[in-house]
Amino acid sequence: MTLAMSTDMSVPASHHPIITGILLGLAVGITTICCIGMASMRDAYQRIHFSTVVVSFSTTLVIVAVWVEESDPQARIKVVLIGGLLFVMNAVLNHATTKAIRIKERLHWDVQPGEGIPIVGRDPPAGGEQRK
Amino acid sequence: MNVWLWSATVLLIALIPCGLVAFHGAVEGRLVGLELTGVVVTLELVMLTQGFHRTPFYDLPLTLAILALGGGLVFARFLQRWL
Repeated sequence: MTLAMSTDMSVPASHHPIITGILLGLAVGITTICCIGMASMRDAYQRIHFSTVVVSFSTTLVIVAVWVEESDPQARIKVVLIGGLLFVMNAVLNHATTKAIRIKERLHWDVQPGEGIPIVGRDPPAGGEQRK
Repeated sequence: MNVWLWSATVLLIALIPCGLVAFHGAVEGRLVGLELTGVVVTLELVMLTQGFHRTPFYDLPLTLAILALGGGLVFARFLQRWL
């Protein structure tokens, strides 16, 4: 019994090159703009927002492109799993990072009265007086 | 080269500002740059896998997505406690 093994290392052509090209072009453009924007921001609090755009839009576009291109269910499921992981991971990671930066800077996590941050239930709303 | 490999090649440009942020400046900004680098490299691996039509290679970006979460959380915790 011989073990058949594929030795074809050529790169196959895309099945839907125009649709896939548009989706991937948008994804790459959004990612590049967000990375440049992240690098041009002032501090970490501003920079941390840009990963959300990449995870939300670029990842979705890449997932749609894989679903258009690929008929293998294993690849489709795995790419959706990757997108879901990135989406959940980004939210958790952004919160943990921001909390760590705030605690590092101010040595506490809770909002203090002098910081100018309104607290629901304690401070009046920004629009005016509270109803009586 | 197909459209996937061209996209993966162009996406390498996005890693330049991420690398600059991750290697320069305050430690908080470096951590944010590292986290965005993990996301971009994951997308890069997805594009390369699809470009070469090697479905088993999807395990690589999947593993990287999981490990980037763990690594980012460890770095954030380390930053909060000791840096």
